[in-house]
Amino acid sequence: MAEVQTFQPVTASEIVDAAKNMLNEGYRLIQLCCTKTPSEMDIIYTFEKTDLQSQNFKLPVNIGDTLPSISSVFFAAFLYENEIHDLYGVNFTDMAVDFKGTFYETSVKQAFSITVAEDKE
Amino acid sequence: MGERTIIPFGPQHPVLPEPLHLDLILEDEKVVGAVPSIGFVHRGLEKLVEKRDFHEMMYVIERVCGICSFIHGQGYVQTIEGIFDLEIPDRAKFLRTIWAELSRVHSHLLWLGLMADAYGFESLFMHCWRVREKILDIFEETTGGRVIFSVCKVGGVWKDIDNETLKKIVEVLNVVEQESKDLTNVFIKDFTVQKRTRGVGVLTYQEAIDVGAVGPTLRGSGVAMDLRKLGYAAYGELDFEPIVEKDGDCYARTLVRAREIYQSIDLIRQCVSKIPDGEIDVKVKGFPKGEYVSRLEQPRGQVVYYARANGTKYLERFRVRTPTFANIPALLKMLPGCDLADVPLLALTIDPCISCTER
Amino acid sequence: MAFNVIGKTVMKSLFGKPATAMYPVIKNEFYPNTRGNIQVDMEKCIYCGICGRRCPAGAIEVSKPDKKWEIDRTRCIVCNFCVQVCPKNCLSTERHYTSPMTDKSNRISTFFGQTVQEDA
Repeated sequence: MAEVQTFQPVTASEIVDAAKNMLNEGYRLIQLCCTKTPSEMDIIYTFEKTDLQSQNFKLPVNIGDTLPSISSVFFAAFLYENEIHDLYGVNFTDMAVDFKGTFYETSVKQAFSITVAEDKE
Repeated sequence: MGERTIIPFGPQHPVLPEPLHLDLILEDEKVVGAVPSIGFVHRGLEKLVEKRDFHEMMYVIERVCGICSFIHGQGYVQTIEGIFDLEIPDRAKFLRTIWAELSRVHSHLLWLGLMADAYGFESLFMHCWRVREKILDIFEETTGGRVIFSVCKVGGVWKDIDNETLKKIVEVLNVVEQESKDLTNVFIKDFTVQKRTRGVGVLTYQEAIDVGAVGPTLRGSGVAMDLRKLGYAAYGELDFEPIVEKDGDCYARTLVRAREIYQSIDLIRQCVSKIPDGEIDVKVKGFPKGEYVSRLEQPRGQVVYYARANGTKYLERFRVRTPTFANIPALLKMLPGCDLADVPLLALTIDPCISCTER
Repeated sequence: MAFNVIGKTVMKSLFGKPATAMYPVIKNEFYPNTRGNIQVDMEKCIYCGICGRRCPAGAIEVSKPDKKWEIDRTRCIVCNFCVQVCPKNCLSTERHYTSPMTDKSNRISTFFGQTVQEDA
């Protein structure tokens, strides 16, 4: 249970190179996850090897930022990137398949970027 | 080269009772490309985490999916326990393993049934579900629910299974094993069934790794990756090897699932013989603070949870990366080159659960 | 490769008993553990309202001044959480499901404590 987890910081300009490095080392992408707190917003990239080792990267972003897509390195990334674009309002350039905001059509745009802090009614 | 046509597949399709939509690009009868779209049943359950405290959230997360509900709950509590750095009692670990493996048996039987239905073998479908009913009865007897068990909690489990019932479970499983043997033989040996599944939708070893396929889809392509090998819950103390098939076609994926039924039954037998006595839960004090990524093996494949907590009773973010989400790119790799008539079958071999995917 | 592998199963079900029960005549037996619906023992209830606050579905409403305990049967997800958090153990799960209803007007079951009934 007590598996030590590190979240290695990375910046937007480095992420594609970092992804290429991971690919060369035999890792594969298992998830992209955007998280929003009242003060900050991060995207977490999780990579995994076939021997089940995993590594996390943390990329701080803001709403409206434009990031380079890693779907040229890991094809599967386009789904996660479209999801983050629709729910958090972070833009990605050069996605393998760009849904242009129609992946999740929510009645409130960028629904997850608003933090609900008030108590349960 | 023929003329290119685009055919929409789904979201309503007779073989797939879930809203998956594919735009299939066809050249005559052959598929040359596909573009998926989901988002028809997006519920935003992950957002509810900001309004429900972390104990209550267990019951919400379980309702992400109706088939792997137990493992969703288990994954959620494991993530929170990871933040707390909490060690749960051994008996609770074994109980969780038993329920998780029973979930796997019932999920694979359900899938085999749907697979039979996909190629029009209705009576085989009904027989698979008849056998599955016995597993659901075990669930109802031990947890109180047939689909949603609500039995996990942060720090252990709510209900214990007494040793009498454990013995009874093994007896029922002996019958289930015998009956499923008759049924899986049809998938493995029958000439007509093999005509439909062999050599269809091949996913090679390297492709499977590159597109991030998970679970039986990955193991059907020869990659021996099984998250249970991480040793979470009681898996560290059990003896098993990931089930691998080399071909990477529909037949291999069916075979992996069929063999995993027996593996799970064997794991439950091991659990019942090794389960220690003792407490089933520990008290949880305070609120979680920190972040944690946990990975589990669901019947459909690897599932990834991420939680971030700030020391209040509400979590800041909880994310579920479900197996189907990871398998959609794999489906896109399988589709080019197959016939239009095989598309429903291929879509089914990744065991899609769209409600899971969209949460 | 073989043909007619399912033949054995077919013969079994052809001459065996049906897998289903004759429903209206033979009713399904529930297990003692089955979570059907939530019952309350009003004599033990202290109207603390913990069940209402912890309910993930927001189905329970407790009012201390009126000595009233109310549950919306259509919202309740029978997760058993209220039963487990009740400090007085006055809640329990009963094994039969809530019967289906044709209109929503009687979805709320209200229970009153003893003193109110004496006053009335």
